[in-house]
Amino acid sequence: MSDQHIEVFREEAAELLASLETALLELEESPQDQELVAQVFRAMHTIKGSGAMFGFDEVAEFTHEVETVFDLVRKGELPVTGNLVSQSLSARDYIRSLLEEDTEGEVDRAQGQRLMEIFRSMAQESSPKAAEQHDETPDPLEPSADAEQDLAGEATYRIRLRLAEDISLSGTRPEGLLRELSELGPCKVVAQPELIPLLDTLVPELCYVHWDIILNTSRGINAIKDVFIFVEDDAEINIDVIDDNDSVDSDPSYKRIGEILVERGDISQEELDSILAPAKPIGQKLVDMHKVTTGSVQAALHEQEMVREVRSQRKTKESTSSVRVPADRLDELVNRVGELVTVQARLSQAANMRNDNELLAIAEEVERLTAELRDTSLNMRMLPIGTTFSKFKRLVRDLSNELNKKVDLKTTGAETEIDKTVIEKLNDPLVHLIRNSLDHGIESPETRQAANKPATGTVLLAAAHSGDSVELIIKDDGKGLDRDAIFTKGVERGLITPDAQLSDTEVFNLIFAPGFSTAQQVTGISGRGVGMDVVKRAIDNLRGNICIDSQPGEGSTITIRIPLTLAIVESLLVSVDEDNYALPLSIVEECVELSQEDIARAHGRNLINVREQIVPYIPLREEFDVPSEPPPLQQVVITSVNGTQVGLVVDQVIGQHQSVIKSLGRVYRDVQGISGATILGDGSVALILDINHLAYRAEQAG
Amino acid sequence: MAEVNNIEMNQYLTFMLKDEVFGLAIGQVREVLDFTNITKVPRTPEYMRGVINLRGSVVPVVDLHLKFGLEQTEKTVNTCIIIVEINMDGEITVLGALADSVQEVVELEPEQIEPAPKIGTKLNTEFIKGMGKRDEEFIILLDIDKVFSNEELMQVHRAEAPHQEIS
Amino acid sequence: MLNIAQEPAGEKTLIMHIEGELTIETVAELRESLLEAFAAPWKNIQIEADNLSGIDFFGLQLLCAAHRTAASKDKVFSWQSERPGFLDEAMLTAGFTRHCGCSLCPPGQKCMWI
Repeated sequence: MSDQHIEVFREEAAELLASLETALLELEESPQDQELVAQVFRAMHTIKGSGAMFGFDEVAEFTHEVETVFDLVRKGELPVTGNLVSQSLSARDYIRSLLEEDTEGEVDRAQGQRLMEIFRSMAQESSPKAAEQHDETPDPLEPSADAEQDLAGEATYRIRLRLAEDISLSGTRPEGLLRELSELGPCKVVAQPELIPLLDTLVPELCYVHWDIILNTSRGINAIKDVFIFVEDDAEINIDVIDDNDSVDSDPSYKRIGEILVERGDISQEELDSILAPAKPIGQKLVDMHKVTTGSVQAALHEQEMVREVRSQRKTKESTSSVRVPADRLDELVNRVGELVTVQARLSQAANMRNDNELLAIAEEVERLTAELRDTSLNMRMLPIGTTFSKFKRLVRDLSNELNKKVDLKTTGAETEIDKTVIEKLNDPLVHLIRNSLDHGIESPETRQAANKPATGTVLLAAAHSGDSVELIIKDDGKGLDRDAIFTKGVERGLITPDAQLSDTEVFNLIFAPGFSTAQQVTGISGRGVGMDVVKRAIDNLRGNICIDSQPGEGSTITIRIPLTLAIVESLLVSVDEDNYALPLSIVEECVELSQEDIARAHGRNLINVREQIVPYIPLREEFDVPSEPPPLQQVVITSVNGTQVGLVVDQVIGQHQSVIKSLGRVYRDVQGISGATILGDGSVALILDINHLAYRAEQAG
Repeated sequence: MAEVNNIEMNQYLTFMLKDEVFGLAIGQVREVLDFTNITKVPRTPEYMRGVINLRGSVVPVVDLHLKFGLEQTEKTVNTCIIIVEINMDGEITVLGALADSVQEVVELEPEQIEPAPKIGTKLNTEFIKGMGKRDEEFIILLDIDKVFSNEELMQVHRAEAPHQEIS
Repeated sequence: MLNIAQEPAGEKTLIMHIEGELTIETVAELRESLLEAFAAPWKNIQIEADNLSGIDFFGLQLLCAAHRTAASKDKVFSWQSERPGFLDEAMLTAGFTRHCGCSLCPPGQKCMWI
C-alpha cells in the first residue's frame, strides 16, 4: 500500500473518530436512538476493515472487540449505559493513539489490553432476554435485526451494483464483494459488460462492468449493505426487495426500459409482461432483450441511465460531494487572489486616468469578476465551527467529572462558518475560557442548590455572524466575577491606582491585562500560568476583541468578536499630510467635519458634538507626530468600538478600498496602533490602523 | 540558504555611506533598488525609515546612516536601497538598507581581510565582520545579521513608545 | 507472472498461448500483445489458456474487451479449442456466465462465455 493511500486512510479514520465521539455523546443522551447505535457500529466496522487492509492490525484487533459489543447493542441484546459510553469513548481515544503512534508517540498498550478485556466481558453479559425488553417500535426505515429474524425470514433482493472505475486502487477486488454476497444465500450474479471499451482505449486495471444480482437471504438488508460498507461512498448500490405484489412498481426503471421497447415496437406488451414477472431469471430476460437489435437496447439503456440520474437527483440526499484539497494549496490560491485584487486596483486607477471608454468598461468588468473570485476563494476556507463545538462537549464532560460538578454544555450556531485558520487559532483560547468557566465559574452542585440554582450548571457556546465579523459568546450561570477582588488585585499588580474610577465592565476586563492573572492556586486544570492575557493576545492576533461581563451570583458572559477573513478587509482610506491610512469599514459609522470653531469650542479637550452626543476623538496628526500644520477643515471619522464611539481626525477621507492585508513583518511586530499595511492602486503603501489600540489610548489620555 | 561555493563566499557588494566604503557578503544581498517612496511607520525609531512596496510585498527599510550615528541619509540620484536577507531568530526576514550609492562587487581573499579595529571607527564594532583591504582602500565589512538584530530593534521600540499600555 | 507465446497457425490464424496468472497485475501485458495482434493482418486470433494457474475479474474483463475489439475489426477472437473448465468458477462468481451473447456480440460471432 502506498504512503498516499495510508495517509488518506488516516485522514478518513480521523474524521470517523471525530464523528464517532459526537455520536457517542449523543447516544448517552438518547440511549434508544437506533440510528446512533447503527452509526457507531458502522464506524467501528469500517475502521476495523480498513485498518486491516492498510496493515493496522492492532487497530483491527482492538476495534473488533468494540464492534462485537455494538453489534449486540444493535440487535437489542445489550442496553446502552453510561458505562458503555464511557468505555467506548476511552476506546475511541485508544484507537486514535494507535493511529497516530508514528507522529504522536506514546501508546498505552496496557490500557488497550484492559479495554479489550472490558469489552469482551461486556459481550459475554449479553443475553437474548434483552431482546424481548427491546424497544417495541421498530424503526420503519431500517428494519431492526431481530425484526428481520422473527418476521421477514427469507427475502429476495434485487441488487444493482455499479462500482467506481478505480475500485482496484483501494485494494478492493470485485469478485471479493460478489463472493461475500453469495455467502449470504443463493444468488445469481449477472455482469453487464456493455460498457467495456475496446482494447485500444481500455485501461485494463479499471472496472467497467456493472452487475445485476438477485439474492435470496434470511440475513436481512443490513447484512447486504455491510458487504459494501467500504465501497459505498464511490459506488452506486440499489437494493430492492422483490415482493410478489409490486415488483413492477418498485422498479420503475425496469418498467421504463420495457415501455421504451414496447413503444418502439421492438417487443410486444406480452413479451414485456413476461419479462417483468418475478419468476423469470435474469438470464431469460436478457435472452428476450436479445431479440431486439443492439441499437435499440443501447438507446434504451441510455434512456434508463438518464432516468436513473434524474431519480437520484430528486432524492434529497444530505451528503454533498466534496473534494479533498491540501490546505496549503488553498492558501496559495488565496494569496494569488490577493495579488490579483491589488493589480486590479491599479488597473482601475489607470483606466480612470485615461480617456478610454472601452478600457474603462473592461476595468469595471474585471473589478466585478475579481470581487466575485475573491468572495468565492475566501469562502472555500470557511468551515462550520460545529466541529470545534463537539470537541468541547467532550471536554466539558471529562472536566465536570474530574471536578465533581454537574455541567451541561449547550451550543447554538454550530453551522456558523469561519475561516479555517481562525478556527484553529481559536481553539486554545476557547478551551481555556471554558476550563475557566468550569473551574472558577460554575459552583459545586451543593453550593448551587444552597443558592437555589439547579444543581446542573450550564455553559452556553454561541456563534453567529454579525456584519463581517463573527461573534462568539461563552456564557455560564456560575457565581460570576468578584468585582472587589479583581479591583484589589489590579491595584496590587500596579495596573490601576487605588482611587481609579472604573465602571464594573472596566474592572472585569482587567483580567485580560498582562500581568494580572497568576492564580493563587494553580489547579490542575487552569491556571498553569496560561493566563487570560494569553487568550487576549490570541484574539488580538486575529484582529478581534474580547470582553467580559458578569453578574454576581448569576454568571459571566464573555463576548469575542473576530473579523471573518484574515486576508482582505473592506476599508476606508484616509490621509494625513501625504500619508494614507486604512480603517476597517465595519467599524466606521459616519464622517463629520471638524472646523477650527469646533476645536475651539471644546476648550482644549478632544471632544466633538455630534447630534447632541459628545464623542471623544483622536487627532491622528498628534498621535503620529506629523510635523506639518493641519488644514483648516479636517474630517472626523466616527468609529464604534465595543459599543463606544471614538472619532479619528484626519485631513481627508478618500474613499473605500479593498485592502489586501500585508503583514509588516517581525520588525514591526510590536508597533501599536498599526495592524498591517496594504498596497494602493498607485503602488504606494497605506498603513492599516488598529482602532482598538488607538481608542484605548484615547481613553487613557482622558 | 543553500551552500554557496567558495567563490561566492569571498564576494562582497560595496557601497558608500558618506565617505566610507562598506561591504556586504553577496550571499545575503537579494537586489538593489533605486530610491523609492518610503512610508513611515509611526512611533518607530528614526533609523527605521518605514516600508516600501516591493512587487506586492511590504518590506521595511532601515537608514544605515542613522543606525551608525551619522546624519540622516540625504536623497540624491545615487541613493539606493539594498535588499538583504537576514536571519532573525531563526527566520529569514527581508529588509532594505539605504545607501548613498552602490559601487561594485569585489572579491576578497581571506588574507585580504583584517580583524575589526577596536578603536578608530564610530561604529559599534559588533557590526563589523572585518576590514577588507583592496589596493589602498579599506572596506568595512558588515555583519548584516548583527546590524539588524532583533533585540536592538525591539529595545528601541519599547524605549520610544511614549505611553506604555498599562500592563 | 504471465507468459505469452505466439504461434502462427496458417496464414490467417494466430494462436496465443498464455500460462501463469491472468490477473490485475498482468492484464496490461496481455493487452499489449493483443493490440499488436489485432493491428497485424491476422484474421483469427485464438487463445489457448489450458495452463493458466489463475484468473481474476480483470482478466475476464480483458478477454471480453478483446472479443469485442476483434468483432469491431471484422476479426474473430475465440478459444483455441474448448474454454478451459477451471474458468467456470471464476466466471460464475463474477457473473460472466450467460445463456446468450450480450447485445454487443454481432450475429455470427460466438460469445466467449457460453
